[in-house]
Amino acid sequence: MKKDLTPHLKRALLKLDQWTAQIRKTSPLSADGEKALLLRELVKEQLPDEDTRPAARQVR
Amino acid sequence: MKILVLQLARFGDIYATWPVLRALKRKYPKAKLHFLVRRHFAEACQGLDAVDRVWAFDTEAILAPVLEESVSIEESLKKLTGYLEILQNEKYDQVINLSFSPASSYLTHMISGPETEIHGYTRFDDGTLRLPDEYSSFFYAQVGIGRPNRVHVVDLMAGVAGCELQPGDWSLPNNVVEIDTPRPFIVIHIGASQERKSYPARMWAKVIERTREWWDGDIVLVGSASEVEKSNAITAECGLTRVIPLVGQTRLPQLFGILLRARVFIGCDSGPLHMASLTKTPVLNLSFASVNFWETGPKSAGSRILWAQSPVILEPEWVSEEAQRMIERQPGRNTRAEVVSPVDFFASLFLDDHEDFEWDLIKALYFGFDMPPLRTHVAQNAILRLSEINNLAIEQIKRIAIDPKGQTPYEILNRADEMFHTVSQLVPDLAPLARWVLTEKARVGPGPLGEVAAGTLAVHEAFQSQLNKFQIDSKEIQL
Repeated sequence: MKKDLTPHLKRALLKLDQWTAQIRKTSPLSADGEKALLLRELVKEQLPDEDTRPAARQVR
Repeated sequence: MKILVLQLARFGDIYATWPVLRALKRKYPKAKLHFLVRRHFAEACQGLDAVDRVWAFDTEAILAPVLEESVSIEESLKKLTGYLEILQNEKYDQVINLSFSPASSYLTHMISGPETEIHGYTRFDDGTLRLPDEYSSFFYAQVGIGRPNRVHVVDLMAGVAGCELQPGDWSLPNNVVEIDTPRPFIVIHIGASQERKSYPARMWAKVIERTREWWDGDIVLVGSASEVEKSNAITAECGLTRVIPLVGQTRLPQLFGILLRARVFIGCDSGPLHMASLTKTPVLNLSFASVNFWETGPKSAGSRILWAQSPVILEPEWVSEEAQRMIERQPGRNTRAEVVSPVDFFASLFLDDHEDFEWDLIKALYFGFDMPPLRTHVAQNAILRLSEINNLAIEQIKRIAIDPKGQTPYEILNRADEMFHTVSQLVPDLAPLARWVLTEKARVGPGPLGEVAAGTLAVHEAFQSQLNKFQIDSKEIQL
């Protein structure tokens, strides 16, 4: 049976949320900042119940 | 010219993208066409001769370090950087993102250079979502489960890519393993991309039992290795007489060969359904409220949709009877809709006589159709309220030009957006209208105050033009 990665994904998402909190306040985004935000989205979309529709009004 | 197309969704979405890639190749015959998919689903690119190169984006390898106990973000970023550098070094002239996800929008922005022509979701330099074309904007505002859109995702992807589809764009891969069987057969795909979109095993068994009463040929069961248990449950109940269980036993080229020979393919929302569109096999699609069949249903002509709120209330007898009617070329009895043709945007849409105000509203907003008459006084009243709020917003934007430092106009503009949203919740019929204006405002993006104000003003004025198209009998409305 495939291993349930949900706890690992949630832990990674929490750390990435902390990691990217400051990045989200900077404008324009640095290349490294944008990569971190992409990584966060890649983690998010692995979680079954996450809404992966992009929010346009919400800055990043 | 070098073009990169991104499709970071699943098997079915990749197969749904094939016709668009073929149309692109026809539009740019001399261009090098590259295709980026997730490594996990890259098998769905086998036999696709329209592209010159397939890139496999290895999400699992990139994420492995952050999923370790130490949550190594730096290591994951290093791996991600490696993939990005390879793609950036290709220096694409066009990047076309046909996945509509946040991750793909960041990726598109990062792969693209300053001269790159971008189609599909991407990002502004400050990281906000950028919808560079009308079709992306349409997708963002109107597409999704529970929404009234009836434009198929394949047509929207072609719009994003800026190409026109032709019937021949739905055709086979070049590596089909053709099968040779003496007896005709029906194919049933027992699974679906998600369990909530799937038909239960005991009900499939009843479909098979009922079908054997009128069908002399075989019934072939297909599905992935993870669905073998379900296949066993089905055959335990209905037996193996004239049933050929191939679940977990077919690679994709064999599955194409099976679909090619099938008289009818019966299945829910899944990758094989989109493969059946490429083999032009008529599909009997079992669809539920968890899916929008208009957007992701079959494209092969003659396909039919059987719809129920949930799988457990879709009677097996109906499924079997409809398959029989398809094979005997009789009109549908319980079908919700039928595919006429895979192309021609509106002409390709399914036949359906349901009155649908919200869909008519979408057609008026985006495709130049007449604005539909408002059905209730509540809706008429809501249009008047929206008009008042919108005119107030227009006044306030004009004040920004006079006094850029004043806070009140910004507060009022934010409140106006909230009001648009609230009206759409109170009067759901008008939700497409609110989504239209809010999405168009989001498209303005960041920039100097004057530019943002001018762009926002243009949207509010366009919104007012839309509102003015509604016919309102103001004598009957209590103001």
